[in-house]
Order: sequence, then structure tokens, then C-alpha cells
Amino acid sequence: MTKLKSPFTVLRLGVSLFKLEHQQIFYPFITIVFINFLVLEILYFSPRYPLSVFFAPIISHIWGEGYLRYPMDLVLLPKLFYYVQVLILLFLSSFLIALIVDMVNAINNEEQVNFKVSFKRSLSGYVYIAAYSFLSLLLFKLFDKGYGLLLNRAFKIHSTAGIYFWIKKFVFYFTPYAQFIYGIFVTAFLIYIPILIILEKKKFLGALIGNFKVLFGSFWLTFALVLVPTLFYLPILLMHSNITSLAEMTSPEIQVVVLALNVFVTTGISIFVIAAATTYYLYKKENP
Amino acid sequence: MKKLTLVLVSILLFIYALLTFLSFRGDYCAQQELWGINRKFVFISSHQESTPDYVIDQQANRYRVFAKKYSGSIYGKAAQLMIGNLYALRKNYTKARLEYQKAVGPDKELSAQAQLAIARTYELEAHWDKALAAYKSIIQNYPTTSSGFSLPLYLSSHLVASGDQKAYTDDDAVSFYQKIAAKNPKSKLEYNALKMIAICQLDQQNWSGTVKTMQEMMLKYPIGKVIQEAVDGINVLCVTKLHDYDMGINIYSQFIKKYPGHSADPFLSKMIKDLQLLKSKNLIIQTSPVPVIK
Repeated sequence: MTKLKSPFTVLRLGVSLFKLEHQQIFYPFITIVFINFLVLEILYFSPRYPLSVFFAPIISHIWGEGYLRYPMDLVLLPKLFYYVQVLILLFLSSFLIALIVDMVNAINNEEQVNFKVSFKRSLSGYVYIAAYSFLSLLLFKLFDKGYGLLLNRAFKIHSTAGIYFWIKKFVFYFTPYAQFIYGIFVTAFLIYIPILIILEKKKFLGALIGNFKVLFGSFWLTFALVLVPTLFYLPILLMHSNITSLAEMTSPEIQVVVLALNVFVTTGISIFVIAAATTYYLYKKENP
Repeated sequence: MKKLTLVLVSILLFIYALLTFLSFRGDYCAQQELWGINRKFVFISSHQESTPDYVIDQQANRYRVFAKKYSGSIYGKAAQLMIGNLYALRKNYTKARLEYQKAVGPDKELSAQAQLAIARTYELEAHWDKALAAYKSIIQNYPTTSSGFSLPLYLSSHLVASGDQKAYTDDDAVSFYQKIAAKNPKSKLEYNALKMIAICQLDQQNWSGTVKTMQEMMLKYPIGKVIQEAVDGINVLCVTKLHDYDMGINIYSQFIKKYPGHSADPFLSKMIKDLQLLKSKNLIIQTSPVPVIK
């Protein structure tokens, strides 16, 4: 039996799950990407007729009429999309991602992977999965708030040279990467909650306590399991932070391309991370 | 899986095609197209010296084709205005004015912009009389457009090159903005007009008038940003110019009385206490002019 002591061995096993013979394991990914793309498409066309009939009054009331015109509408688009994405994540994506847990378990038990069966088996945990998703978001926002305080403090530094100047510069330029790092930390910190909800049929609180029990002694391995696939997000992050120059070099529509790529990559990463973590959890369970 | 992916991609493509078809040749398409042409204009204007004439002509043609395609719309007129800008870049002001004139139409904001551009070309040619007449006609015909609204302030701070005399006095500007404020009560226009009055009064060194205008602003528009701006101005003027602490104290007391429980009340109460402290110590603070470093 393979010993799962290195995160790379777990990740290799995780990759081996995504074979065409288990093709229904791809269904959650396809569904999430489709729904996100559909929303993105609708929001992209929102300032134009006929969708503008519904969206224009809302946008002009909240953000001003200027955001209905090209290319300012594309400046607002990521914000609008983010709001809808949060809702999709809380009520749909998180559950669909959690279905992977059941599918990996089925593969482990040498059963046929079936999206409908996994859906039915996991449905009882829907509310707890949504609660887990909400907790992750809350924790992420708390880190955001903490970093915001740090930014405010850095803003008050008036030095134009020396160590304080460099600290200020570092804090400002590091912002997107800080979000990236505490995002990984939050994911790793709570990753076993959906696994316990789906596989052990635990309620939210039980899953939360169980999560820390599993994490105990294997936090850094879990952290590496999340970190390595998430590194694929770095190019998207770079694009996000240089979106203005990218738009100047190409066209304002690049914003839509980056958002679409973002959906594709983040969904892929989330699904792969949960599959790898489930593999590790099942191994740990079978080899206590 | 392949079938499912194909179906979902087809749905997305169908929706995209449908929405593109439905919005075809609408305002948004015109904005997109004009933005693309303007992008080239920005490049030309930042490389004026090295841009050959044929490139200017090509750009003018792009605008002409666009103006024809969207004739009758505001975007067509905007393209006409841009042709004028192209000629103005080449200092061909006569031709530029002809194009600007074509941009004047039913849209007041754009028409005011076109007239303003005409006036500017006269000014660049040093035909001040013609420029002034054009400026005054904008103030008269388009007083509430952004171009017309800011002009009195511009003119009041503009000296006639020959006689070192203002073509449009601060008093003229103040009376213009007072009329606007009176005609548009409880509106953004009134607020902006009050702000302009305060700027003109500051220019006139009419300190008590400025304080009164700022008082009117904060009492009529009790919004955080307005209050902060007004308080900053009132404090500085009452303490350093008027040496009248009671004036500030009265204004803040009046605000607290008019808006009991307002979120700015604790801040204003602190301001009252600070002013009272300064008054009790009979301090006279004066601002001194910044020395010119040669």
C-alpha cells in the first residue's frame, strides 16, 4: 500500500481520480462553470437592451449612470459578478464541490461514480455545507478586515525613505498576495468539514470539532495539499493586479476574459483540492 | 459528458448571439465603436508633432463614417466634435470651428461643449472679444450644463491680457451662481452653485460672506462630506481671518438645534468647546503668507 506521508503522493492520487472512466466526477465542475458563465454573460449584457430595461435603473441608482456606458460598465462588472458569485458559492457551488467527496468515496469503494446518486446521498447535508461555506467566507472577510487595518496603519507612514518606507511599500504591493495566502490558510483550516458532513453524516458543529481532530498532526500536510494546486491561480492573480495595463494594451473586454479564466481555474482548484483532501482523509481513516 | 458539455456550450453561445443581435446598433454599440476611434485620437494627440497629415485625415474619415452611421444621434454629434478637435490639434482653427458648429444640436451638454471649443479656438487665436462673446453666450444659453456652469468662475479669474482687467467680475459670477441656486432648490445644482459662490467669495477675500455660504451649505445639505468641508472652512476663516469665534459657535449651535441627534452633533459640540476655549484665552491666530523662495 502507498504510504501517504508526502503531499505530492496524495496529490498524485488525487489526479488519478479524474479519469474518463469516472466521467461523472467532472459534472460538478461543468455545472459550476456553466452557471458562472451564464451569470457573467447576463451581467456583461446588462447595460444593453433588452437586459438594460431591468438592470439600468438598479445600476444607475446605486453606482451612477456613468457605469452604464462603455467602457465604465466593464469596470463595474467584476464587482457585480463578485456579488452574484458569493451567492452562487454559498448556495450552490459549495454543495456541488462537496459532491466530489461522495464521488471519491465511491471510487475508493470501487463503486460506479454517479452524479445523481451522490446528489441524493449528500442532500441531507446541504444546510451544513452552506453553513460551512458561510463560515469560510466570514473567516476570509475577518482576515481581510485585519489586513485593512494594517493598510490603514501603513497609509499613515509618511516616510519617503528608509525601513518604514519599505514596510509601507511592501504592505501596499503585497495586498493581493496576502489575500491569496490567507485564502489558502482558511481553506486548509476548514477543509475536513464538508468531508465529515458528507461521509460521516455529521452536523455542522460535530463536523467542525471533527475537522480540528483530523487537522491535528496533519495541518502542514493539509496546508501543502491546498497550496500546491492553488499555485495555478498565481497567473490569474497577476492578470487581476495588472488589469488596467492589460486593458490598455488589448481592449477593455479583457476584463471578461480574466473573469471567465478565474471561474475556470478557481473551480478546478477547489474540486481538485477537495478530492485530494478526501483521499487523504479516507487513507487516514483506513490506517489510523 | 461530451454531449452535456456540448449542450451547455451551445446554450451559452445561443444566449450570446441572441443578446448581441438584440442590442445590435444600439447606444452601447455606438459607445464601443466611438471609444475605439477615440483611442486612436488619444495616441495622435500625444504624438502631435510626429503624426503625418495623412494619419489625421484618416482619423477624420473614421469619425466622418461613424457620424454618418449614427447621424441624428448624440454619438454622431460627438464624432463631429472630435473632428473639430483633430483640426484644432493641427491649429487649423477656422476648419475646427466649422466642425464644432456641426456638433451643436438638441443635446445641451454636447452643444455647450462644442460652443466652448469654438470659444477656446478664438482665445487661442488671441481674438479675446470674440471668445468673450462666445463664452457669454454659453453662460446665457447653457447655464446648467457642466461647461456653462463652470464658465463664470473661469472668466472671473481670467485677466484680459491688454488691460489687466477682469472680463467677468467675481460679483457677476456670484450673482450667476445665486440665480442658479435660487432656481434649483434642494438639488445637486444648488449645492454646486453654493460651492462656487464660496470659491468666488474666497477669491474676493469676502471672509464673512464665505462663512455664511458655508453655513448655508451645511444647514441645507447635512451630509458628512459637506459638513466636514464646511467646518474646515468655517474654522479657518473664523479663527484666522475674522477673529470672531462666536460666528463659528453660533453656526454649529444652529446646526445641532436644527438636526438633533445627527451623527455630526458630537463632532460639532467638540468644535464649539474648542472655539470657546480659544475665545476664553483671547487668542488671535493669523495666517502669514508663504514666503516665496527664489
